[in-house]
Amino acid sequence: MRPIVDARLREIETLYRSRFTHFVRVATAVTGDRELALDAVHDAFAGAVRGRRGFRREGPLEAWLWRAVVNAALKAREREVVETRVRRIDVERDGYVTGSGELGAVIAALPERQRLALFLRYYADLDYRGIAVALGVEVGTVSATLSAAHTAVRRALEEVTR
Amino acid sequence: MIDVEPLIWEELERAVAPPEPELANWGEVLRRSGEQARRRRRRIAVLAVTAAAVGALVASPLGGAIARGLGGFSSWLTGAPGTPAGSEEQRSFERRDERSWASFPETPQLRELIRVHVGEGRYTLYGFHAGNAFCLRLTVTGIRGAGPTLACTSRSELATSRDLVIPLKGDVGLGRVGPLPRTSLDPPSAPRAIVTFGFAAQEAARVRFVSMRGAATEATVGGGAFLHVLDGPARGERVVRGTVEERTGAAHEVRLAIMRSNDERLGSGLPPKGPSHVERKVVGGQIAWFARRLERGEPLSPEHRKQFVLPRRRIGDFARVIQPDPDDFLRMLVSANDRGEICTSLITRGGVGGGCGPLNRLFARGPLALSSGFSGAGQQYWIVSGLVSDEVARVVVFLSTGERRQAPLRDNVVIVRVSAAKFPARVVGYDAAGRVIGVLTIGGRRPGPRRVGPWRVLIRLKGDATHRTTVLRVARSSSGGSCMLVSFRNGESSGCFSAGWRGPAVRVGANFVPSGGVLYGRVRQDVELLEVQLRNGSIVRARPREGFVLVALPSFEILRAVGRDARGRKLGTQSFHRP
Repeated sequence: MRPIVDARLREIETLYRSRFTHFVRVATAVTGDRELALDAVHDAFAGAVRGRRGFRREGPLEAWLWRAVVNAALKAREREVVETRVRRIDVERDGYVTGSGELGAVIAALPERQRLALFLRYYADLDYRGIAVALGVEVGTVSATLSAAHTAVRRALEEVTR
Repeated sequence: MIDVEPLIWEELERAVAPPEPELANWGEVLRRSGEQARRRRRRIAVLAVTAAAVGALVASPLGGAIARGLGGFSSWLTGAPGTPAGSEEQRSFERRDERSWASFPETPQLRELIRVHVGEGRYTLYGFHAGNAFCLRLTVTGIRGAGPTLACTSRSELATSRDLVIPLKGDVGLGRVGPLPRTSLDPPSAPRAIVTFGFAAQEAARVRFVSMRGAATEATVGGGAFLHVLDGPARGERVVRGTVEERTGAAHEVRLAIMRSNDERLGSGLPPKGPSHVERKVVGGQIAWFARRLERGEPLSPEHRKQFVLPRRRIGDFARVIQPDPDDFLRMLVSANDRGEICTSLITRGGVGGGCGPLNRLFARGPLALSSGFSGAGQQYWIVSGLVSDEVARVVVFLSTGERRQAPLRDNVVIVRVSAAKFPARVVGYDAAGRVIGVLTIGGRRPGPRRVGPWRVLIRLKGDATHRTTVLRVARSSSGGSCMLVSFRNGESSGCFSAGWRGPAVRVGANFVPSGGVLYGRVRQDVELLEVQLRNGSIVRARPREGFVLVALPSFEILRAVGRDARGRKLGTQSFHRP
């Protein structure tokens, strides 16, 4: 058993090293803060290292790690909002750092799942299956979610340009 | 209806910068995964690591860029740095611009950024922007043969780059001391000066470059740019690296694309980023507007048609000039030649170049038919250009640094500038549903075989059509094969090859002068005789020596070269078109 677990630890380490910038970027988008994001990524991986024996290969290891990172980032954001309330003026209620333009605000106002799907698609380069595992939804739901996000953004922009 | 996907991508790219890979800390992960009882101590460790991470932002070669955030090149993006150039310089620039096919859409107004006097040279760096092209122009007086040097990058580079300086030209030799080398066997001449210049962010206080000897010299920084002059370098000396200091004193590495030897590869040394596999396989794509001869872009003007000759054959009747970014001067001529092939020619300020091929084979291996290259010494930005099939809705370039750039795409033509210092770059094509359908990696590949042994003369042709001696030399290559160097009167041809043989049995080239030519190259080991058939019906025969051939020809009208074995059987043929 131990050699398998150690091999898994090496797999986790390899994914951490090769995909580190992607993990942190998504976590930053979720939390709106680079330091919180680093913290969340390290927490998520620490949890994965601790719980690696429980990973049953029901999906790719990377998707399992993505799920852990997204959850850790969401938790970190909640903690931060509760603890500091209005201290962070550049972070919206939903975490994503809003841009100076309309589009940043539109993305920040999207429902959580749509925003997460966009982040995982764009920053993490995950395919639909990877996003589905990371968010704990069906592949078809990912497609519908991304489509809904695009439609929402399109509508908002068309209203602005009218 | 608005195509929102590119807009979303741009917004997300701008909103969250990729972190520096140096922030990764696996040791911290292992520490955090310890016992619950150590939680308090771990928290302290977290604070320490967070502090270390913040410290790393300042101390790492690239961290200052993160701390700096956006807006470093705002003097260029929103204003006009420097002072207006003199009227004489402006007129000289406009005259040159008029002569170029890739002239700027509106006459840009030059701004004088830096003026320095180093050794015998007086250097003036000008800058301007024309639409989405941001350019620097260096003029030099006092050094013979040092004409104006121009280099450009794109608005998106200045808008999204997190570097403190963006070099446009690096390690460019000006003037020379000693005779110009005519072949690679001649010793190099020493330039009178070596220059490196580019854009500088507002936070860049000092920029220094180090030569091969290890001596660091200061660049002049001002007007949103920097200019470094290494005066009187020794023979073979190069500028090899640089550092930029913020006003806070933090120093960072300048990303430079300088190849110091053939063994090196350009780039950051980082692994490629971005998708590596397609999510939907697309082969055999088409370009509907070209197939139906629809008039996209602009027509080819009669004067350009007259002077423009494509490789092999002249342009056919259908020729369109496509400009993927209407605010940039880079364009591509897409035409059909009289063999029914599709031809592309990239039009830059450095010249026009391209090739032709059958349309039905263009996308045989995927929807991206792109190539990359550069023109001019010291060029820091390569141009990735070419055609994509109708299935491609968007093209994104992923740099090894984690940055990415949206590539301008219009009417199936892609032209995008890519920093060679950030190679390897992945060019990724997406379909309308956002799926990856094409991936092309540029730079960062292992270098090919190189020469490891001394040259020895294998074949010497005296009194050929050029009335000079042509020599074919060979040497061992690093991969167990051989290298070849052919020295003509008017130049040379060289290459190194792996052991073994792939492809056709005859691989030859030709060097022509009006009175005749020389045919040279390699043949497979079993080729015993090479027959060169000329258009006038005559045949010139030559026996290969160690798999190499060098043949003097009485006429440049070659029809084909045929390789035969010992029994006279044909092993391979290479055809020639009229030069």
